[in-house]
This record gives sequence, C-alpha cells and structure tokens, in this order.
Amino acid sequence: MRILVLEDYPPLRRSIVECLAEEGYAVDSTDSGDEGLWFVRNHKYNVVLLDIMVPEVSGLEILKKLRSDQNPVPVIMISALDTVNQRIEGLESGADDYLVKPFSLDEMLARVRVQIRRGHEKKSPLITIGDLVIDTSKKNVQRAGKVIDLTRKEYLLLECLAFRNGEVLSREKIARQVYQDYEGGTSNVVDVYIGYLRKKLHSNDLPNLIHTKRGHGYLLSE
Amino acid sequence: MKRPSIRDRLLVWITFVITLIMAVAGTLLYYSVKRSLYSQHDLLVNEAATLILIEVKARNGEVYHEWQTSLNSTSEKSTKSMIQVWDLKTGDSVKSPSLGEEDLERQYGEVGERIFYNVTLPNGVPGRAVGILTLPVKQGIDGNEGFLPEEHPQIFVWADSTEELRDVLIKTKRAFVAAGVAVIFVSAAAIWLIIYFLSLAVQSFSSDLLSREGTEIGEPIPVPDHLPSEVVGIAKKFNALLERIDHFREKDQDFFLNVAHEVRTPLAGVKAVIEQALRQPRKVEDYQKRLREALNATENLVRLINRLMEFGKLRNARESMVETTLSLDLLSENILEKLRGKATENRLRFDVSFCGKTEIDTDEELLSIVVNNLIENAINYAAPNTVIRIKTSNVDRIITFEIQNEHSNMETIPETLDVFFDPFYRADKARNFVKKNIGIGLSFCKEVMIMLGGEITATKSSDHSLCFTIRLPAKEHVSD
Repeated sequence: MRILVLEDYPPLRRSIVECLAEEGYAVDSTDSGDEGLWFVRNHKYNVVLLDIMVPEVSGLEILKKLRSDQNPVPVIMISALDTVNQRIEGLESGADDYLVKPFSLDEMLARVRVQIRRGHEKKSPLITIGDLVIDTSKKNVQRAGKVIDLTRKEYLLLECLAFRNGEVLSREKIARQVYQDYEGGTSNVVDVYIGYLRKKLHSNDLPNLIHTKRGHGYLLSE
Repeated sequence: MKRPSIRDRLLVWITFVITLIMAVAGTLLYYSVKRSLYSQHDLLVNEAATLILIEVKARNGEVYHEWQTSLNSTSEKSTKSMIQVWDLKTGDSVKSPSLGEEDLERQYGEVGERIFYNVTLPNGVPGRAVGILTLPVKQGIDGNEGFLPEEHPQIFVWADSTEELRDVLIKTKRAFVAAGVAVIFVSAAAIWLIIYFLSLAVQSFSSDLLSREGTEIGEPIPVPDHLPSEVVGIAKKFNALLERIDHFREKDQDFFLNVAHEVRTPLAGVKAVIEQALRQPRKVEDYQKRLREALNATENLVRLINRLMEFGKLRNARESMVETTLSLDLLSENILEKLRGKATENRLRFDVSFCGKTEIDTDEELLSIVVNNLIENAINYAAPNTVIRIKTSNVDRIITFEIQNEHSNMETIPETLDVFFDPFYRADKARNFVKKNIGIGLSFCKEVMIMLGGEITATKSSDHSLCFTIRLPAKEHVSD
C-alpha cells in the first residue's frame, strides 16, 4: 500500500511518515504543493494525506486539480481549520475524509485503513477468500479457523493480493505497493516473500490459494 | 441624569415664540387702536375748539369772550366742555363754569398751532385738551381804532373728558389678551399633536432598534418609507456603523481562527512526535532526537505566542513609549547591515538612497521593529538576482522611508493592498513554515505606526513590484 504525505511542518511530516512506514506502508512525502501535485499525478497511491495550507499550491487547489483530472485516489485532508464551513469546503472539493490538527496517529491510521478498504470497495475490515479470513483492522490472518503468524511484509503482501481477489498482479505492481524503497528492476524479493507466504498458508494439506500466472504475476483465489 | 426630550423642547420653544409674537403683535395693535381713537377724539376736539375760537373777539378796543354767552345757552356744553382763555398781556383768564375754581393746565405753540395733550380734569377724570395761541378777531370798526390784536394774544385751552375712550381701550385690551391666550393654548395643543404624530414613526423605529438581538448586528435595520427624511439619514448612518462593526467582528473572528490555526499546527507536530516516540521501545539516542524535535516545535510555538502577546499589548503600550531623537537613515543603515548576509544568500543587491535629513522624535525600539520587518519581508519576497531599493526623503516636514522590490517572487500581487496589513495574511496563499513566516509582521507594523503617529502604506509599482512606505513627522527644529 503506497501513501503520499503532503505536509509542510517538518516535525509533523516526519512523524506521520515514520508512523505509516512502521505500519508497513510505502510512503512518499513532500512539503511542497508543486512537488506533491507532481507525485500524485505520476504515481499510483492508495491514499493521499493532504495538508490544506502548504507552500506554492494549496492543498485545496491540488485536490481540485486531481478531481478535474478524474483521479479517484482517496484523499484525507489534514488541517488546523476546523469550522464546519471549512470542513464542508474541503469535503466538497473532493476530499474523502477530514482530519483536524492536532490528531492522534492511531486515529490517522484507522482513517487511512478505511480509505484503503473503500478504495477496494470493501465495507468490512474482514476479507474472506474460501477458508482464509483476513482482519485488516487487527492485521490478523486465520485459515480454517487457525491463526497464522505472519511478518509485517508477509501480511502486507497477502493484504495486497487479497484486496484484488482474483486479479493477477505483476511482480512490479506488488513491489511498488509493498516496498518503501522500490525503484523498479529485477529483484526477486516478491518471489521470495510469495514463497514464505505459501509455506505458512498451505500447511496441513490445505488447498493452494496463491496461484502463479507465468509471465504475468500472482493472484489470490480459491 | 434626565436627558432633554426633543418633543418637550420643541413644544416649549415653539409655544414661547408664539407667545412672544402674540404679545408684540397684540401690543402694537392695541397702541395702534389707541392712537386711532385718540386721533379721532382730537379731531372732534379741534373742530369744537375752532368753532369756539372765533368767538374770542375785539370789541370797543377790548377783548370780548362771546363764547361764554353761547356756552351758557347750551346746557350740555356747560357741563361737559371745559374752556379757559388767558390774556397773556394782563395774565387774566376767563373760564367755563364747569371749571369752578380750578384751572386747566395750559400748553401752546405758535399762533394758530394746535397742541394736544392729556390732562386730569378738575373732577379727577382723565381728559384730552387742545391749547392754541390765538389773537382776538376785530368785530366792527367802531371802538376798535388803534386796537392791535398782536398786542393781546390769548391762550385758548379746550378740554374734554376721555373716560368713555378709556373704557373702550380697556375692553379692547381685555379682548386682545383673551384672544392671545386662546391662540397660544390652541397653538400649543396643535403643536403637541403634530409633534406626537410625527414622532410616532420615530418611536416605532426606535422600538424596532431596541428589540434587536445582539446576534443581529450584521443585519441592517429596515428603513420604513414613512420615516422622516432627517431620521433616514441617521438610520442609514447607523446601518453603516452596523456594517463596520460586523466587518470588525468578522476580522476579529478571522484573527482568532487564524491564531487557533497557527497554534494547532506546531501543537500537532509536538503531539505527533511524542506519540510516535512512544509507539514502540526505542534507543536512548532515538528518544533524545525526538525530544529535541518536540522541543524545537515547542519553541516555534512559544515564538508565535510571544509575538501574539506583543501584538495584543501594543495597543496599550503608549504609556511605555520612550521617545528619543534619532536619524531614520542611521537606524535603517544599522538594520541593513544586520540583514545584508541574508540578502547576499538570496543573491540580492540593495540600492540605497538616504537624504540625510531624517531626524525624528520617536521610540527607537518600535521603529526598529517596523524597519526590520519591512527589509526582512523585502528579502523574503524578492526574486533572486534582483535589486531592493530603499529611499528616504524629507518633504514638507514629513520623513518618508520607502522600500521597493525590483521584482517580487509573489505569484500575483493582490489588487487591494490593504490586505497585506490584515493579521495572518500571507503573500502566498498557502502557509510556508520553511520561511518561518508567521503572517502578522505587517499587521504588527501597522499597529506600531499608528502608535508612533505615522502611517504605513503599500503601493503596486508594476505587476511584480511592490513598494512599502512609512511616513513620520520630522523633528520640530529640522528644516527642509
């Protein structure tokens, strides 16, 4: 899951970025409106955290430009402006959520998760594929009623495949969503983690859920 | 204290003026009637006197009073008319019987001239008399040879009672007073009614005003069509005042919202840094790094709050101002020196023109804040490799300091330049924490300049050039 953070106050930006990264999200960040607009126009993000008052181009203008470009990326506005009118203005400009400063990082994470789920048209935090149940709010995975212990990267990889249940994802697409510093190339890190996941999910002679499509990538399905 | 009422004042003053007019007019009219009656009476007295006068004759070389015979033959005349004739040569007098032992008062002029005057008749009633200096008329020739009338001048006085006239005048006076009092009362009542009906619209308007809630300040008062034009002006001015109050309320509201906003962002930073530090166990060095970051953010917050406090105190700081004589040129030069390094970093050049006659009596510390702010802003908002022009002048005892960016890095310069002096206005619509721009500097400068008795203005030289000017009165003894 890749997230863009656009916030010009350095201590706040650094803390948000670090918090999201510690949660396993790939995060890009900037303090400039112009740069933020370039990022969001040239990369695919699952969520954008957008401060309203940033230098050069304001957050609201960026949001309006995105929506006029028909870019559906979920946007959470971050602002110290908390009057009803200001919230309405933000939401009517196309924001999906509005977070008032100062906010709790846990609340921010919860709202990010909601937006990611919405982005995949999942209303419930639970994703069920056959006997596999993933609780995206608790980051908990069970198969046939048995809890499976996954590392952070393994979980993110599984969540990425689960959100696109039945859809073939290329290695590059998976890498971009899961790895913070992925710059493209021929690394087999995705294959390695797919191998780890398979071992943990397919034990006890349970049917295979992660399928390989040669030359295309991987998909998760019954 | 009881406030005077316009209605009561109008009533009292208009009634007073009407009373005065009635009194003057009544008096004039009364005296006019009196004069007319007396003239008529004098005319009658004169006619009667003229008839009697010809009856003072010279007969047989002596003055003969024929009128006495005719007077005795008319009983009415003998009772009412009083006549006395004095011979100026002998001093003897002849009088009508009605005078008895009393004499009439005598007044006379030239021969034949009639002198009318008021007298009190022997019976004590007022009367009117006519005095004539006359010469006896010669009757026949016999016996009058050698008689010269000029040598026997006679003073003829005819007096008559004016009691009836006095009664008529008393009645006239009473009628005038009664009519005057009636007119005054009727006028006062009419005036009271007119004022009452005219003030109904004003009363209803003032009731509307009083019934307004405190939350309705922004809404103008509806001005009814029937409201008198004099009050419409006041109502319009009141509405304009309401509009201004509303404007200032909005500005205040914006100010507090902005303050809340400016405080919240660093606060969010501090909170996020601490929260993030506590999310998982970390090394001591890591904690220290985060605490330092939180401390820096707190210092930013303190800086902002201090500036806001200064801003708040400024309005009440007039008492603590310390006035000294200083040269604005010298003060600007010192500040320029301090900021030259920053300008060089931004590849900026100063073009300075000081006039050398900029001595003023002012608070050095406060003026330094203004000049420092203007120069620092010019540096922050100048495009790299451009010139900042600074000029001072002394014209008509007004010291002027101008600072102009040859080319500003602002995307657009707003049409209404007053917004620069609004608290938290920023040249770029979005905030820039990187430049550490709080956004109250120019607003602060404006407050300071008002305190110092000067002014600050912004003018647009071109699409990319902005000029800020401060003006202060020159020191008293400095000549141009």
